[in-house]
Amino acid sequence: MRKLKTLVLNSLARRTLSVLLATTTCVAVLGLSSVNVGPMNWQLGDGGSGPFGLRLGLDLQGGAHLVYQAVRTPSLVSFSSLDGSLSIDEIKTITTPVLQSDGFEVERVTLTGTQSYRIFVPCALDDEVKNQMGVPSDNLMEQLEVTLSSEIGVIGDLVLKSGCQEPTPDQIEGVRYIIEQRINPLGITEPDIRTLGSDRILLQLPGAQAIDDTKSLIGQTANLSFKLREMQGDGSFVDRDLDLSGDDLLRAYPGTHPQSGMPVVNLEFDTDGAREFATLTAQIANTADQLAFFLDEREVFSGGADEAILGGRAFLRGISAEEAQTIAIQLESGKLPIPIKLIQEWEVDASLGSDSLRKSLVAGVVGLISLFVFMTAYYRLPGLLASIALLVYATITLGIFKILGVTLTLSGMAGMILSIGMAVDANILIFERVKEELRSGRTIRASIEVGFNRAWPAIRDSNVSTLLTCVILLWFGTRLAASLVLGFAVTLSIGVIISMFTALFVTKTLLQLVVTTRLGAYLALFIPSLISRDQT
Amino acid sequence: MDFIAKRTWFMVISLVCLLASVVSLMTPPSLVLGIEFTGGSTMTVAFSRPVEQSDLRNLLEANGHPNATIQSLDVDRYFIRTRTLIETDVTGKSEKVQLLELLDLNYGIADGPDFADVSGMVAQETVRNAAIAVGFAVVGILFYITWAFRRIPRSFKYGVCAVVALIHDVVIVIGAFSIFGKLIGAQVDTMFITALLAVIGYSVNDTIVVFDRIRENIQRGVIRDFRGVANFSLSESLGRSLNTSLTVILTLLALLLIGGDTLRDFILVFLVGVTAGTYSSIGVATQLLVAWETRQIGGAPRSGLLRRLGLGRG
Repeated sequence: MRKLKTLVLNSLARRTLSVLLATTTCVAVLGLSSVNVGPMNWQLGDGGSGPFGLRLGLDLQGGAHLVYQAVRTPSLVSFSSLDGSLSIDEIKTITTPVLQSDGFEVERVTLTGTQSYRIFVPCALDDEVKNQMGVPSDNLMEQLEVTLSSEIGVIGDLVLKSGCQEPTPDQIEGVRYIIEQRINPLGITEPDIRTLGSDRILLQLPGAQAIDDTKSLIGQTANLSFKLREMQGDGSFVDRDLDLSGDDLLRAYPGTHPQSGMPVVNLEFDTDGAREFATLTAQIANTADQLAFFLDEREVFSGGADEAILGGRAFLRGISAEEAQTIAIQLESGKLPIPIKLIQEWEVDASLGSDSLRKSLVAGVVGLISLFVFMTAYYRLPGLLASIALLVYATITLGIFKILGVTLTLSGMAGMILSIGMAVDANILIFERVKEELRSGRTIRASIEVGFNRAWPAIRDSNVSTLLTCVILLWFGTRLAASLVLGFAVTLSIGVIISMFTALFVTKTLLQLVVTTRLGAYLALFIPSLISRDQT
Repeated sequence: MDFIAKRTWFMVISLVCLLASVVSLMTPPSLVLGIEFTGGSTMTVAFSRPVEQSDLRNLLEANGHPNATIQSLDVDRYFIRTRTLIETDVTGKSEKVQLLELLDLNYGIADGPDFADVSGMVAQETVRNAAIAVGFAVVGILFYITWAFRRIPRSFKYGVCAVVALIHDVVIVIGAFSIFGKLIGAQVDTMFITALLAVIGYSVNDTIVVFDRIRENIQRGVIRDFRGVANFSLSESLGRSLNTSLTVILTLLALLLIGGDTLRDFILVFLVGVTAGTYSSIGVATQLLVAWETRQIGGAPRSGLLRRLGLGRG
């Protein structure tokens, strides 16, 4: 008998210790400024900026408010010349006065490998005066042809490729989709990405510290272009435009070289791109010539080729892992259907309104306190212990949210509220059973033991069915991209597991601990006096 | 207290609630979709006089925009989303102009507003997907309860009754929300959907707890007829049912009464759902189970179930 008692006490001591350990660990986790474990650290920023360093969603905390606007691409005037000896500057000097006479500027002039000149003409500022689209008129093109012919002789294929169009709904939606994919590949942070008007995109992201990361992730880029960098006789380089463009690139993603394990950027071209790329690499293989990658006018990467690359798959090497990441994102961003630029940037407050949330937080605390008061008044000492157990529950749950990097949104809060309700329910189930056992004349200690055992099947079945529901919601949520279902299911499943732990482990340990003290001798602390009437 | 004898009353209450829900859902507007679904108008506006967010919200609410989302971007600069503003109304004045005048009159507009139409964030498809996920979850619950009660013959009845109670609760919550929509302009948004998910979880949880008592008392075999078992189990678990719902309702009431306005609809859904969930375990799930087990619905048990159980009345 004594041996048994020592065993129970020992195991009680062990359990008390583990409860204390779990709680202090979570208190420590919540107290630290940032925690960097768990699979979701690729997320923006280190840790959250909410209370206890938790990550809060847009609805609860606010974050970055960015507005992007589609940029109208310049019109392109191209022509070929039999006399390819004219320099780019000379062409610019000849064409500028003609275009200016009608209100247009020359942005830049380039020369492609096939002796074709390209003049980039930005959209006219005052669209309504000149022409609805802000594009050179047919009349102006005729004047340009006359001037060019008289200055440089016969020209061919004078073509106007007009830019300046309003983006189509499909293009804007395409940009929105790409931004969404890039910001939220796992669909868990619940950003708010929408089209605004006909040519803007509104992006709200949780956590204000996310602004800089987000901006670099989205970029605000335009054209991805490729240039041939030819070495001249004197050792200098000249860049030439190519027929290969960003449209030909299917994918760019970071990886490692299969043999050397060094970081690379993998490239995949479509059929046309693959053909062009093969020709190019054949041309520059084992020469000093290089292929350069440009985003707008900014060079992203340049390098030579060892051999002709067939099949449209290539990789860029000689870079660090971070560079690989950045270059891949930059190349990918060059594939946006239309270029965009950032026009507004703010720190935005919670979409549910920070004033309203502050009031709700106070209300939540008041609600919890009244819950504690009710539990203690009705269930006496066990009710008080259950309240303590609920605090332990809250600490552990929040600690785990922080460790896993869960972004807490209102749908997540709904899951948490339900799991708190279930934790309270489990405690009430247990206490009702303990009371029944006390009424039937058992000792306090025996009643606790039997009461817990009797309550267990109901707690198990209701919690397991909830967990099962969560698993199904998670499974579907990820596949059907229903992020609001995901946030709910993640917090609910974590909450349910912890609530079972606290009800069966923490509450029980606390109760048994109290019973070993002198308090355990007072039956009145466990069962309200009005119950004793039933016993008679 | 004889709960089973009150079956007619429970039926009347449920039918009245269900009928009210269905009628409200069939009367347009059955459910008003929020701007998260439909899109709407947005504006960024800076004020020349200091503005409290809550004052701005009250001003918009009093002037036909009860569901506007207001986020502060900077000191006295706000990003406001409203339903789609109509170009001209009966007075021939565009709503944009009206709103502009209203804001300027009250706070003085320093900058903006730059009106734009915003797309919906949540596609209807997302809601359909969420509904599919919930549908599968319900099937999962049905199978799980059937399995968890496998020691009781024909345990699928327990699963079916729990699911019927669940559907009962969901219809009532959606119906109640439709009525709130008509009375206080409540709109269906993502908050509503997550609250509905929580209500589903609560309803099943509560039914299982009540059924667990029935399971236990059947296995004890003290009471011989099923009606008696059910009634005894209900009285035994009544204390727990009331206390659990009371604690939850207490917390929700605190949130409703002193919490912020933006969560009002969310909390209301919860309140209705918890009440319905607690009620339906007693008034729907158990009543249906008793009726089914005592052959009042579903015909005679095919294999002498009651005799085998030792629960027959004779």
